[in-house]
Amino acid sequence: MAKGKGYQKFQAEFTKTAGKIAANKLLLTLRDSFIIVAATSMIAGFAIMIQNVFVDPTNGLIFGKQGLGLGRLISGSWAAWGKSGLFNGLTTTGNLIGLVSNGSLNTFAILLVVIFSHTFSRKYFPKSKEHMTSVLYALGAFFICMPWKFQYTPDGAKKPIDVLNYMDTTFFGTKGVFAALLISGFAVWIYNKVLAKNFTIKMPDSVPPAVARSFESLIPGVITMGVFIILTGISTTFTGETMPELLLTALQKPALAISGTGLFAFVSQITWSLLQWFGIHPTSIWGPIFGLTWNINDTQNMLGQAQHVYSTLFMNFSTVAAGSCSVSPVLALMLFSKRLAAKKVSKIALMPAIFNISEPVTFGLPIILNPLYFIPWLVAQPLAFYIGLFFTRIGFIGPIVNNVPWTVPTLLSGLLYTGSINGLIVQAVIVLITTAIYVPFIRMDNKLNPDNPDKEMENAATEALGA
Amino acid sequence: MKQLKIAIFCSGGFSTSLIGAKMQKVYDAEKKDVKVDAYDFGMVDEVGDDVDVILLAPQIGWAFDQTKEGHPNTKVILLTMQQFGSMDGQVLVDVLKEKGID
Repeated sequence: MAKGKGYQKFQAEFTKTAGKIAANKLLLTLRDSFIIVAATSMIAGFAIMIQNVFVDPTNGLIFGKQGLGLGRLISGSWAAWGKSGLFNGLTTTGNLIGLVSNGSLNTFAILLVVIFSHTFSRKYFPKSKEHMTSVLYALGAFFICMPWKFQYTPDGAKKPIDVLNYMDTTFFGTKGVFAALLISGFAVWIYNKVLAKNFTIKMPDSVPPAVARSFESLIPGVITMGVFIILTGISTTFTGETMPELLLTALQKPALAISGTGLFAFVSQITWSLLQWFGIHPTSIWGPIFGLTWNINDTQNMLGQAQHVYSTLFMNFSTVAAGSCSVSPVLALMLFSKRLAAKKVSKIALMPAIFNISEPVTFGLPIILNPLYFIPWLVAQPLAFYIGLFFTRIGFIGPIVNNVPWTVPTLLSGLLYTGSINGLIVQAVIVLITTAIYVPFIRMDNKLNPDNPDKEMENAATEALGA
Repeated sequence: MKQLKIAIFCSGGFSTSLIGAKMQKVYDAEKKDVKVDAYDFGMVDEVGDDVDVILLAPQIGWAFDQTKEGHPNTKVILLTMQQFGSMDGQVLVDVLKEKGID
């Protein structure tokens, strides 16, 4: 591989452009917000996984028919198991565990309003004295815009009736994600802009400062609330729908549709490894994009509302926790590298790689910016993704519905993501194939950069003489 | 002698936590009053002004300039690929020593 001038120029440009995008304030704000909110999704996902895999007395891995079938062993038959006290106890426990969704996945949009408005205020208005006031008005604005009507079909009725002043709670969850971000961001922006313009009530100096401060936010607050009241009035008058409903149909549904296409998946996976090879962490750029698309799919899958094949969970399952199969290069090095330095790196990198941390191998070998490893690195991630996709399409595994923290070691995570041994098998296949991809390149490395070139030359010479 | 605080940042704070722990061991062995903490880059605005040295991992090299601007009173050092890739606490402690931080 010749490193020409053109290549170096391209590399510099690429890194600069990608760096600019990654440093974009709005993307950072989104990324940080999603990371914070993801903690609650992870807790809920973990709880739901425990419920699906271990507790569930009918379909779980421990008691159910597909798993070990302990239920029948305990009670003698499936019918008796269904009537047993343990079965009922497990069902009740499962229902209680299910409540975690109400505090996380089902109210995802509200949690996002709080976190996003706070992060937005911190990043865009760092001089603001009180970021919580921004959160206050963002929440207020969000609820002003909500559809305060609820359609309910009583038993035996033909037509649903409109119940006014009750909220359609589906907008608290995944349906309200775009609305949450746009409305809260806009609210924080208006509030802080007006505040900066000093449209505040000035108190004489004899008034205690704490009292004066409580009046400070009044006018900006009134204006912020007013803007959203007017906007809601306009949208309901002209379209009959509130803004969250409009945003759902105009932005969120198209975005989710695009993210469900094969092209989107392909582009995301290829650029993921490409960015990483250039030494830029892909989450800085893809994190916010996935947050608006595949993470919503995750949540719907976890709640059993949908069965999306493409999701962040699936990507983590198939590409071995987005560490671009960090296990594979390390394994391949341990088995096939003859270079002392590379062997040493693989020893250091093994433990982190088992927990899906790839940096020690990518920076240590290095793989990053190393032309020799460009091809296997670029290919491994999309290939892993598509192997996982293949097994999903033929029905060997279902869409991923369990949320497993991405640091759970490979193979074990496959078992937990899918709740069946098949997930483990698929991950094993992926690790084998992606490891094999590295082998020819490691052999090339052995040849190109031998530890003691003289000896190699001697060998070559004796071979040549002997021939 | 006040405690020297070093904050080391990467994208997620995972790989740097490994290096941070190794650096801490080196400093502890040398009986120096130094505290090394690893963070994800989202925290830089919050801790940047409270520490003496900010170390940036190479995968967030693009943030070097903005970090320097944002924290004029803190020494910001961008680690090279080799330094970061060594995953060796001693190497990084030596890098800091060269820059006069001890």
